[in-house]
Amino acid sequence: MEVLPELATGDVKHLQRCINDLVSLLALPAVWSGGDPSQVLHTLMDALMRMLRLDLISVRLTNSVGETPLEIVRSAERRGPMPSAHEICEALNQCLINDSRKWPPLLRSLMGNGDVSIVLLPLGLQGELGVIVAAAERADFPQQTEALLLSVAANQASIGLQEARLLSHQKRVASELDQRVVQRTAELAAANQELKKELDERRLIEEKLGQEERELKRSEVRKAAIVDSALDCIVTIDHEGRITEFNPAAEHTFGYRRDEVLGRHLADVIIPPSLREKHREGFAHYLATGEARVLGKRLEMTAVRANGSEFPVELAITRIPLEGPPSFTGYLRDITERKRARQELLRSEAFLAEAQHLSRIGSFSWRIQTDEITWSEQLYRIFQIDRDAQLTFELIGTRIHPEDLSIFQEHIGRSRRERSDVQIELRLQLPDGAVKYVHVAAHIRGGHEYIGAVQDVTERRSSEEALSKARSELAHVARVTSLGVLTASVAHEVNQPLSGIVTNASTCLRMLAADPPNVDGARETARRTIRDGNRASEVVTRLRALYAKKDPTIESMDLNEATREVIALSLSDLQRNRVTLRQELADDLPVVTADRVQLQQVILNLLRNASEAMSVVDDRPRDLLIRTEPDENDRVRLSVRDAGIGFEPQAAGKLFEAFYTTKNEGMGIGLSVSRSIIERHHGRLWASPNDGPGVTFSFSIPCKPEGLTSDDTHASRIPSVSDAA
Amino acid sequence: MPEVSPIVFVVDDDVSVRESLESLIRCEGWQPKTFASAQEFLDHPRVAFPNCLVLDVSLPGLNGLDLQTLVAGERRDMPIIFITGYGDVPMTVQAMKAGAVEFLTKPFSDDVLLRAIRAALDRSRAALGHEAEMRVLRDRYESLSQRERQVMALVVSGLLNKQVGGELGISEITVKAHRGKVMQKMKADSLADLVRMASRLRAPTAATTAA
Repeated sequence: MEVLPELATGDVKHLQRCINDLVSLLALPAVWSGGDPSQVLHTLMDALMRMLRLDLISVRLTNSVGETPLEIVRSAERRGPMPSAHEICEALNQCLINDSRKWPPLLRSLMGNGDVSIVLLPLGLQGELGVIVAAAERADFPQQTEALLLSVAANQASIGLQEARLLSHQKRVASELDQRVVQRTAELAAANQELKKELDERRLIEEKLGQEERELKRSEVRKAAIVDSALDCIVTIDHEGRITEFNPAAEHTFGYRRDEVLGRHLADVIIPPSLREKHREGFAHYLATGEARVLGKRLEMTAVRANGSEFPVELAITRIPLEGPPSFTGYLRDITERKRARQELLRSEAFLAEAQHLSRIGSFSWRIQTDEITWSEQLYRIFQIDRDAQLTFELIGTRIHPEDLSIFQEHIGRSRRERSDVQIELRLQLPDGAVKYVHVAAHIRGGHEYIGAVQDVTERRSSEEALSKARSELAHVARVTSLGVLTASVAHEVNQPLSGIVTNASTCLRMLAADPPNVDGARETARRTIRDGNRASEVVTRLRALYAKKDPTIESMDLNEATREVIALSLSDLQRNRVTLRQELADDLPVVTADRVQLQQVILNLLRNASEAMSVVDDRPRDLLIRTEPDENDRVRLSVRDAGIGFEPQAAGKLFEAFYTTKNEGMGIGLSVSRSIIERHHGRLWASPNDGPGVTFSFSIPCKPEGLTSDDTHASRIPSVSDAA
Repeated sequence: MPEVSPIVFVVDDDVSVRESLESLIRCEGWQPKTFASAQEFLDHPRVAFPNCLVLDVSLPGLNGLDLQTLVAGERRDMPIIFITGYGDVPMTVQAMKAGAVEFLTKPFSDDVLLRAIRAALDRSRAALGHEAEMRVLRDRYESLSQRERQVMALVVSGLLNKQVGGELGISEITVKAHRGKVMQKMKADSLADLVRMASRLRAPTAATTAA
């Protein structure tokens, strides 16, 4: 510019520096942007101190912004003593009390030992923001440029402060907002959490409720099923005695339908009228006192059905463990059957005792291990032992006949060792001297206990002896009778060979008398004569064997051969009766140990019976089949099957009785005698009707009967003849 | 014609009896034939010359009396001699009534038996002769025509030719011719002869033809 040439070089430099400072001040807002008020003030104060070589500068704010202090004082490092901060404040306070518009542009004040020029620069248009106090010890302070710089600085500071304040405010608001948002968010989250928790809990509770409900339902269904299907009657009543449950078994037993009785008083329904009052009293007593005589026990009482019939029941009452007024469950069972069974048991026990008494049979048990012996009453009676006596084998032994004692002891020992079934006959000798025969039979049960029976057979023994005597007499009669009847048969048997002998002898004579004599023919005929003579002699021998009175001889024999001999003897008799005999004698028949003659008598008797049973039959062949065969269990069987008139079914049992006969001329002793012979051989003789007409008589005997000896006292009493016709 | 030696049948189930009788019979010059049962005997063919049967009463199966009943009607030429080990009166009566020659109880004398057999064979011979005669008569009668038999029946019952013609609805001349033929064919010498023949033949008479 042209106007400035006259300016001195110093002035130019001063101006240049001033312009630089101005530019620096104008640039400050750029530095301040985004800063806070204290930063604004500090940078401003630093700049002013440097530019104006101030000794002191202070900023005082009317309102604090953020953390900015209300007053900042800065002083230059000085050579001399510096007024204290306090002094400066006092001085300032004096000049700042008034309205800023009345502030003097320059203050002169004495602070410390120097004269100080002070400039007050309001911040804001009216100094509403605060005040800047700049002081220097220079007298020329403030020069024109310095005043300009100060006022520009003050303006800049006002704007900067305003902005910083605004910014700070905005920041604060924003941060507050942020904080509020965060807080609110946290609150919401918490609330949400709470809600969720609540929901979970509710769900849990619901689930639990559902489960409980299901369980409850299940348990109810189960209970109902139990109650419905129970075999016992189940009746529940409430505290007033009214029926609340009545199960199907109860319906069935009492004859009421459930819906008929629900709500009715129990007493009126199932308790017989005679007991109702007692029931009511008991019930009332319990409700009043809680004392129960019947709860939790098994009782027997009488109940009544819908039709009025009374019957015994077993009853158990329990209280249902629920809160509220008491209710009860009664379990009832019809025990009519049980009672009857018990009575029957008692009766059958009585029967048994009576039967034992009548049949003279006593029963016993013996535990081998402990020698514990129990007897029935009758057994004490048989042995004449006191009921209270301690049973031991020693004591029992005192009642056994001395001769049988060793057998008894031997059996006890063997039973103890072998534990097999026992069958013995013993004699007892009782204290009064009487002798009794007893038959003992016992079998082992479970391997450790004998159960058995002892029968007093004394009477049977004596009657057996009598019977035996009668039998032998019978047999004698039988022999005498049959001898007569068989005479014709015997005559024929002997006459056949005799006839041959006579004819042969005559022929022989004729041949010798011829001319010339036929010597060869005569010799042959003579030989035949001898043969026939022998035959006749055999027949006689056989007959004698059958008819002779002879002691029984037990020997090994061939039943087939014996049978053939009998057939040979009876053939003519059969032929006379026009009977066709068929033989089926087994080839594989085992040898039998038996009395040959006795068996032959039986066979002869069976053949004769069969033959006679067919004597009136004219409408069919008189077929007779005699058969021998091995039988099971090492036995042999012989059967004689006829096609005769048979017998009435009701006669089957009597056939073998002495003097029973279906024949007009019969005495009815043959079969009875035959049977006794077979039984002596431990065999069996029986008759069974055929499918067609007629009967089959059979006997079966063991091949080797035990205990059959020729000197058997019973056997020797056996008759030696078959029955008469 | 020379006579064949007569046959003596023996039926007995006892071998001693059979064999001794066989020797005895043969010794007498007859032919013995022995059987152990009635059935065996029945299976044997009958013979046309003199024969007889020695029969045991007691036999297995069919007994002697049964056999007698079976053959009595048709075997008049075979007389039966019964033998038995025992004999009772009712049985003997039955056998004799049915035509038995003899009823012998064992053991019997050989003479008695042989006599009985001889008698039986005589009877057999007679029966055979009678049968032969009858056979001739029957053959002659067989040769008559139906009309001739009618005429013969009426003539032997005593009717005159004229009456016979009336009965049969033919002329007397025709009756005469038939009658001549009958006399010729029957080889009858006289009416009396013809009447005898008719009675032996038991030929039908007027009474039966009229029916």
